[in-house]
Amino acid sequence: MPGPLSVKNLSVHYHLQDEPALSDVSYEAAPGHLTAIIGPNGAGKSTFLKAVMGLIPYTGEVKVFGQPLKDQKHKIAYMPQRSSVDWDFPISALDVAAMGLYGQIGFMRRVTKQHKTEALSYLDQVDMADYADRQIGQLSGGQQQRVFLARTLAQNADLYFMDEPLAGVDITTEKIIISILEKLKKDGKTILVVHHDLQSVGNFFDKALLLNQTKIAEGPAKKVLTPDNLAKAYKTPVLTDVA
Amino acid sequence: MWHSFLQTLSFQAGYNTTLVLSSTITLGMACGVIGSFIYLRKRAMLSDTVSHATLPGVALGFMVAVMFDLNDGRHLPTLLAGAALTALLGGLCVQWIKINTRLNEDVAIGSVLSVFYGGGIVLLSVIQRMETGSKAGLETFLLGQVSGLTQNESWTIMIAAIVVVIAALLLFKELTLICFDSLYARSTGQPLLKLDITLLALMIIVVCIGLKTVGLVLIVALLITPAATARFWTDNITSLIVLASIFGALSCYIGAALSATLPNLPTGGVIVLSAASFFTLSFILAPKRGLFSSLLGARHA
Repeated sequence: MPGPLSVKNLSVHYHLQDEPALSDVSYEAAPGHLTAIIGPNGAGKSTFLKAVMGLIPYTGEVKVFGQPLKDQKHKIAYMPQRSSVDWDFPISALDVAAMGLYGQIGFMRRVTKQHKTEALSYLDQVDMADYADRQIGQLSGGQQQRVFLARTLAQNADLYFMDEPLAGVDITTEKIIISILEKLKKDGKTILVVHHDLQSVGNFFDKALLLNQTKIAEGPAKKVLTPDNLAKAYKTPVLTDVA
Repeated sequence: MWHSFLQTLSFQAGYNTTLVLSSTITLGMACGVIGSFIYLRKRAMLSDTVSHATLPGVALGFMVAVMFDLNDGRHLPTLLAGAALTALLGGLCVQWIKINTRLNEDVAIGSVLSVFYGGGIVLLSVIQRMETGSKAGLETFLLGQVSGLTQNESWTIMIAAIVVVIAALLLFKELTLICFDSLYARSTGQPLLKLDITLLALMIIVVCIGLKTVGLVLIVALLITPAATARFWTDNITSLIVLASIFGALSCYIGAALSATLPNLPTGGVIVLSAASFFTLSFILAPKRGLFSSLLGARHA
């Protein structure tokens, strides 16, 4: 059976920029694992996610469950960075969670009461059911992140891409997100998470992909996070003991 | 004057005036609905470019109509087809410049708007010197004048406005999604480009049918102000759209009735001023986002 994500010679060159954002990355995602994508700022972590989902132009080959992504969109779910949207948007937490069901609802069809009940159950999973009717701007950063996670869960995918879900969240939110990630893994889902905090990689994730413009290392999290690899990725020696 | 104004307001000033009034109200409603999505998609300035870019199209349409000897050059379908064509061209130019050059969107918008508008002004002066065709009339496209509206034109405006509203409501879910989170929308397989082009097309239709009443210089205000006004009163996109269409319709109602009573008043200007009054009142008085309540809130905090 083909793996959930197979990337061959992926390169991304942003328009009008001299340096490539990513060059020649080949990678096979470990099925049923929780993988952290790590690397310094500007290493191309988010770019990697966006490219494999076809959201930005790239060269190389990307296959999702053995096929081109355009036929497999229903099998993937994307959780963008929280900063990518305007939280002043006039919409409630429940309506955002329901967006995860749009694929299932279908083009031009209306969101029914039944869909709303279903969306509410996903909000409940992230402990946000009590805030269903709140306008999203009135939620804390961590709560907003959980609403985004509920929307992602509602897609009921097999392959998840999450961009910095744990960045700047409170302890409660961190615990909830980690427990959901664990549960997805237990259900056999494959999850790729862009993660910023090297210290916690080993605690939360079993696999890691270390990037800096190109692939530096991949494999079990503890084997990837060697001082050697980190020095290569971060160009300067990393002072903290993370391995 | 008061008497005839009240007669107009209560739809008792004769069939013709009533029809003009109804078509203008429907136009205001459609502007509120489409404007809400444009406001939320943060494309307000693009709609200004598109509306200014209709001018060369109107002028070219006039020339074509004169050439084919249609109704003295003032053949509305030809004028509007020209307007829609150059409006679309203007909108696409902005997108092209944004994607293919290092220039920002605001530069693209500023330059495309002025180039198209300038081209239109030049063409208008060419028309002034033409031997054939009635010269008067095209200036009303700049600032709008309801008194010139024929029954046929009123019906056309009304039907087109209703079609636009229905299309937007059918696409409510998809348009909301691309306005809120376009990147995510694409990741789920939503046709972002097609939806954006659909929104642009709906906007162009509204702009074109608004040319004769509100005028191309001011139509952007009727698109954006009602939505911005509605935002003061609600945190929910459905009520935002409903309120924006009410504010749009009311502004048009007051503006059209006033300018029907006092024929010297330019309709577009009066409509925009009514819309601006609703905005100002909401800005001051709205319960959560208004000036008073933020001042009170600041004192309590």
